[in-house]
Amino acid sequence: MYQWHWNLIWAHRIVLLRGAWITIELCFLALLAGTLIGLIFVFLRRSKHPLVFVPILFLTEILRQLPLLVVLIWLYYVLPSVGIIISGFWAAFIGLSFNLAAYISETIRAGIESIPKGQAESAIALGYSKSLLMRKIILPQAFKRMLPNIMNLYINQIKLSALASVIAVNELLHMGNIIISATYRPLEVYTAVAVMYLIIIMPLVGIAYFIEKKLNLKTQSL
Amino acid sequence: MNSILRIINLKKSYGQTKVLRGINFEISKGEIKCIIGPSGSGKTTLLRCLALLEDFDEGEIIYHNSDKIISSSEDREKVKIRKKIGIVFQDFNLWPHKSVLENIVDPLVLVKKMTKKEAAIKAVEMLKKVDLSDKRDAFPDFLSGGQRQRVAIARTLAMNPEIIICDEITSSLDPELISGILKLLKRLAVEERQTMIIVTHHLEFASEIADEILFMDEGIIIENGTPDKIFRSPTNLKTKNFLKTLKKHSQEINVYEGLENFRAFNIGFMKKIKSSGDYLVLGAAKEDWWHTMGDTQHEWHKIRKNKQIKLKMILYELVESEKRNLEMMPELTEYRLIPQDVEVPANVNIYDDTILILIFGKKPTVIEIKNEKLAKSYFNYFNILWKQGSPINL
Repeated sequence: MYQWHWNLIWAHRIVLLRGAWITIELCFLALLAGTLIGLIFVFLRRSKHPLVFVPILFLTEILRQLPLLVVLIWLYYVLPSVGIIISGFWAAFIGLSFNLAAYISETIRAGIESIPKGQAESAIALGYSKSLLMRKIILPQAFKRMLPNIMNLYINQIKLSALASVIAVNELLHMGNIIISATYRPLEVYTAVAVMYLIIIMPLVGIAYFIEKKLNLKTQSL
Repeated sequence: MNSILRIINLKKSYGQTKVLRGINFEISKGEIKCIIGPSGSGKTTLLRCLALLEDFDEGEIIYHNSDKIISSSEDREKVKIRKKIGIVFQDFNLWPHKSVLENIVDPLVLVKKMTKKEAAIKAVEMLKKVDLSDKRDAFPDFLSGGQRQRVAIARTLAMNPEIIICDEITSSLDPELISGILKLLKRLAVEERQTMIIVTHHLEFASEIADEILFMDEGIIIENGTPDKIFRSPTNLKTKNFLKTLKKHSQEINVYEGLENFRAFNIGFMKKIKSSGDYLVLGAAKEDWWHTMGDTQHEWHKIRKNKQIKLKMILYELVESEKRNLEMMPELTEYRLIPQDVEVPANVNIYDDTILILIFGKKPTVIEIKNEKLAKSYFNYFNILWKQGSPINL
C-alpha cells in the first residue's frame, strides 16, 4: 500500500503558489493580448484588399494547424538563433496569445457573418454608415452569439498554458516537476497541481455557465 | 417634367449572365409604377440597383435631374442618395434585437439626427398609420409576417423618402395577410400620393394602383403603358403569353391572390359538389387554412344542408405531428398519413411551405397549391390510388 505524504505539499506550498501565480499572470496577459490581436485579425481579414487579408488568412491557418507545443518550442529555440533573445515566459506569452488570436478571430468572424445579410441591407438602405451598421446592428447581436464560445476558448487557453512548462517557464506544472525532482513524490505533487488548476479554472467555468444562462433568458428569440 | 428619378441605359451582369440589358425609365413625383414579369427577368436586381444596394456595370441613375450616380460613383455619394430612397424588402429585414419602436426610432436618431423625443413621436405616428400602435414594445420575432411587414413599411415611411421601392413585399406572407398589406399600399398611393416603384405578382392590385405598368423580361422592359393598355391589349407577344399563362394557371391551379379571391374560389368549387358520393380530400393543408376559410365554413354547412350531401373529408399529412390539425378542422372525418414513398422535393419545408388541397369529385383535381413540385408529387400519388379503385379504399 502506497504511503501518502501530504505534508510535503504543505512544505513546498510557497513554490507551488508561485507557480500558480506565474500561470495566472501568463494567462491573464495572453488572454488580453490574444483578444486584442484577434480583433485586429478580424478587422484585417474583412478587408477587401488581397494584400491585407491573404497574409492574415495564411497566418491564422498556420497558427490553427500547428500544434501549440511545436509553436512554443520553435519560438524558444529558433528565435535566439536569429539574434532575438527571449525568455521562456515571453516566448510562451507570444505563442499563447497568437494561438488564441487565431481562434478568437475565427469565432468573431463567424459571429459577425451569422447575422443575416438582410439586416445589414435594410440598415444600409436606410442610410446607415458602415461603422453605424457594425456598432448598432451587427455587433450587439453577434456578441451575444459568440460570447459562450469565447469563454470556452479562454478556459481552453488556460489549460494549454501548462505546455509552457517544457520551455522552462516557472508556471504551476513546471514548479511541480521541480518539487518532484527534489522529493521523488510525483503522486502527491501532480495531484496537488491538478487541484490547483481546477481552482484556477473552476470560477471561469462558473462565469461561462452564468453568462450562457443569462443570454438564453434574455434573447429567447435569437 | 418634374422627374425625381431617371434611369438611363442601366446594365448589369453576373459573370456571363446579363441580368439587366439596358433599362430606361423615368418616374415623377406622385407617380406609381408597377413592374411585372416572369421570375428571373431581373426585376429584383433592377430595384436593388435603384436603391443603390447593388453595383451596376453601365448606365446612369439620376435623381432630381442633378445628382448623378454612375457605376464608378463613390460610396459617399451613394449614402447621400440612399437616404432619399426607401426600400421595403420581401423578407422584412427587421432587427430582431430591437423592439418595434426602436426599429423605427433608431434610424431617425442615427441617420436623420433627430432627438430621441422627436423620433419617438414620429415613430408612434407611423405605427398608427400602419395600425400597429399596440405593438410598439413587442420584438419582431413575436409578430406575424404581416405585422413585421407593417413595421418595415412604417420604418421606411418614417424616413420621409421621396420614393419607396417595394420588392414583392407580400411574397413571404400567408394568404390571409396579403390583402391587408396591399390595402395599406393602396392607402399610401391614394391618400398621400407617395411615389412608389412596386414589383408585384398581384395583377389586379397592379391595375388598380399603377399609373404605368412596366413589363420586364430577360433584363429589358419589353412593354410599358397604362394598366388598361397592358392588360387589355398588350401588343408584344411575350407580354401576351405571360398574361395568358397567368390566367391559365389561375383556372387550373389557383395560385391565390388575396383572401377574398381565395374564398370566392372555394365557395364556387363547393357548389360543384353535387351528390353524396363526392369526397373531399385535403392534402397537407396548413393548419390555419381552416381558420382563414371563416365564412366559407358557414357556406359549407348551408350547401350541405340544402343539398343533403354527405361529404367525406379526409386530411392527408406527411408528418404525424401535424395531427393537431384534426382539432382545427371539426369537419374532418378522417386523418391519414401519406406513405413515405411519396416524394417530397428537397427544398420544401413540409411544415410551412405546403398548402395543397385536392378535391375529389368525380376525379381528382388540384385546386390550391403553393408549391407546384410537391403538388405534382401528391397528385401522382392520389391519381394512382384513384385508378386502383373507389376512393373509399384510399
